[in-house]
Amino acid sequence: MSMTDKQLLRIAGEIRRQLRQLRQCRHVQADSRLAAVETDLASIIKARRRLAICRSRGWDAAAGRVLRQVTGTIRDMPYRLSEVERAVRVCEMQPPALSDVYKDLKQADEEFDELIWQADENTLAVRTDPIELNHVFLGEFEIRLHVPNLGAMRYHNVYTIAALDPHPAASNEHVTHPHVSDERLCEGDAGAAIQAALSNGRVCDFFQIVQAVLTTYNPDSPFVSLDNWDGTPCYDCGYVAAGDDVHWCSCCEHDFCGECTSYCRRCDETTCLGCLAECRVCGEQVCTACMSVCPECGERLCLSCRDELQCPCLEEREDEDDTDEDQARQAERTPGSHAEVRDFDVLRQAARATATGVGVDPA
Amino acid sequence: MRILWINNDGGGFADYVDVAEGTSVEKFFSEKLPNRDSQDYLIRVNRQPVPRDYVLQDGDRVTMTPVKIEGAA
Repeated sequence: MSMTDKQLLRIAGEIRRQLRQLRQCRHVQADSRLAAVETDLASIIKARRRLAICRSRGWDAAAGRVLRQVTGTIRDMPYRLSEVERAVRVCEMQPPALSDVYKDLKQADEEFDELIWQADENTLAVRTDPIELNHVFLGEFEIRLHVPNLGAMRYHNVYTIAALDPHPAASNEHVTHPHVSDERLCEGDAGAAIQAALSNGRVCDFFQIVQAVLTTYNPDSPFVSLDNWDGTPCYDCGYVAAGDDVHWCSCCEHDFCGECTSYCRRCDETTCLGCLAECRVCGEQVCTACMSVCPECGERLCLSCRDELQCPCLEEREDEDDTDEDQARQAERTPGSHAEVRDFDVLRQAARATATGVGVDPA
Repeated sequence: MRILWINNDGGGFADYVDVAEGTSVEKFFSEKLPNRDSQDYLIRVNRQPVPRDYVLQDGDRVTMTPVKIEGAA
C-alpha cells in the first residue's frame, strides 16, 4: 500500500533535518582541516624566522637543519590543501528543499512496488524483484535506508541490504549476494554516485543506483564467485565442491572435496585425510574405526594387524615362546615333568589371550 | 535554455547545463554520454519516464541512471 502524502511529507522533513545536520558536520570537518593547514603554516613561519637568524649570524649548518625540519611539512602541504579544498567544496552544497525530497519519495513510491517506512527504526526501504545472476537465484532484497544516520557522515552505516529469501553462498552464509556481505554492499563503481545521491537527498536515485549494483555481477571482484556459489564447502580446505566431488566422511561426519578425501584400506569406507592414520606395522592408511593399539606395547596398528598378532612386540614374544617350547620339550624327556609342561601351556595361552583379548578356557 | 542534469554514472554529479532549443532527450543523451547505449540507462525527465523524442524544456530536471553498475568485494 502506498504511503499517504502526509506520511511522505513527514519522512521528507526528517530526511531534510538529517541533511541539515550533515551540513553542520561538514562545517566542523572543514574547520578541522583548515586548522591542520594553519598549524603547518605556523611551523613554516617559525622556520623562516629561525632561518633569518641563522643567515644573519652566518650559521650555515644550523640553517640547513632548520630547512630539513620543515621539509616534511612542505611536502604534506599539497595534500592538506586538497583536503581543505574538498571539504570546503562539499560545504557549498545546500540541503535540498523539502518539496524536492518529497517529490523524490513520491517517485520512489512509483518506481518501486512499495516504499516501506519502518517507524520503529526510522528506516525507509524498497524491495527489488527476485534477482538471478548467471543462472544463480539470489532472491529478493530489501534496500534499507537508515534515515537517522544520514546526518552523521557515516555512509557505510546509512543503508543495509537485507536478503528477504536468502540464498547465501555455500561457503559463507553471510554473503547473500556476490557484492553483499553482512548486509553491507560493496559499492564498487557506484560509490561516488551513491554518496552524491544521499548527500543531496535524492532518495529515489539512491535506491535505483543500489538496485543497479544488485542486478549486476562483477566477476572480477565478488565476495564469493558465482561459479562457486552452490555446492558444499569442504570441511578441510573450504573449496566448494558439487555433485560427485562431495564426499562424506563417516568418521568425523563432515563433507569433504575429492582432494581432501581418500578411503580406508581395511573397510574401504570413504574417509577424510584427517581421519586416516598409518598403521605402524603394515603401513596402510586406515580409518579411526579400523585403527587400534597393541594391548601389550600400546603401538598404533590396524585391527587386521592386531588380530593377526602382527605387532613386533608379539613377534618378539612368539620368539620367546618358541624358546620356552624348546625348553619344555627338553623337560618332557625328563621323567616327572608332564605337569610342569601343562602348566606352562596354560600360561602361554593366557599370555596370548591377553594379547588378542580372547578369553582363556581354564580347563 | 538551462536544464538540471543529474548524471548518476561515475561521480553522480548534478549540474545546470545549457541546451539548444528543440533538443530531444535522445540527442541530449548522445551528446552527454557518447558511445553509451541509452538502453542501459534509466532516463527520467522531471522524475517521469519520457519517450526518446521528448523535447527538453527550460528548467527540466533530467536524470540518467545506469541500470548496470559493477560492485566489488
